[in-house]
Amino acid sequence: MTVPYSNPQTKIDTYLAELGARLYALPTEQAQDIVEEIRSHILDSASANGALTETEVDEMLGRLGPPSTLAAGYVADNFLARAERKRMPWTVFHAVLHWAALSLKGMVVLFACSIGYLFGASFLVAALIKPFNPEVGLWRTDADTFSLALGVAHAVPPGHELLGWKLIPLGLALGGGTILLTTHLALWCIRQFRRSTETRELRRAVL
Amino acid sequence: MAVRAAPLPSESVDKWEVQLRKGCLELAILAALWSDRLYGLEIMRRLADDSGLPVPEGTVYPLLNRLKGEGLLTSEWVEADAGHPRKYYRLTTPGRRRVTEMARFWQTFSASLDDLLVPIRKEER
Repeated sequence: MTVPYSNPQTKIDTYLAELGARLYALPTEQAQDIVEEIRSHILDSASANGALTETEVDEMLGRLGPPSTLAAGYVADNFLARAERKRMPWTVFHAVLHWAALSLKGMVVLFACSIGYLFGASFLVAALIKPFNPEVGLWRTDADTFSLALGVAHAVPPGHELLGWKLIPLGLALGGGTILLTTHLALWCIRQFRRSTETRELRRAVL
Repeated sequence: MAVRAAPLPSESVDKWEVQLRKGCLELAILAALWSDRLYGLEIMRRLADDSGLPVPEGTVYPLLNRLKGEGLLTSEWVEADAGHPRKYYRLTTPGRRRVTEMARFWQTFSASLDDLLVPIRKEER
């Protein structure tokens, strides 16, 4: 039977392979560059202390942190930087999508983000279609339950459409506002995440 | 490698210290590269030895990557005697400009803060 991670070199290779895999969101060339840099760092730290022993490698990899955390640092930085530069919903959504692949927190933000964008987009789309298809509207489908349906509905009375042509300005404002708000909220979450990761790492170094 | 100047007693001071160090990290890295090109481990050693500013690997490398992305640093791979290549960083012209501005601000800021601290230190003595 072979014992996994039986020698230091294998351990380093496994670490780097996982780091590389977690960096898939970055351009290949950049990801390779990062992996090679970390390899060089590990080899340098090791050669300073002579031969590579398993304890040393363990300690070194421990200082680097788990590959997923290290990768998250790069990916969050990379996408946040781009998202902050462009401030566009799709760049932000793209960033959150990659973040979700790396952590549970990212998944939660992705979920919230998807709802926000979906909600915003449906209002926008409804407002844009209204001139061509007047049946699109905010419908009260049932007098008792007050459930609302946005879209084309053929509700029987007492169901009726609530907004009329006001749907156009309202939909544009509400849809645009929701998308804007979601974008800002997502950016804030990424920034918080990055900040908390950095702080945790620094605490470890200082204490 | 990491030696703290003096232990700080309370936890809130501790938290404050971490925040402060974090805020200075970018300046420290750019400043370390002022006269030489250095690779990651050298930068960390310089920060720890010269300025008592220990920095974890997991923070420095992504930060270097970001500074490079912002155009403040460039990097190049150099073959070394060690048998493996090393990635060296150097300041770009915008990087030099940025660190000069930061250093200027830091000097004014810390000088005026020092003035404010004089009475406290006097009383402590």
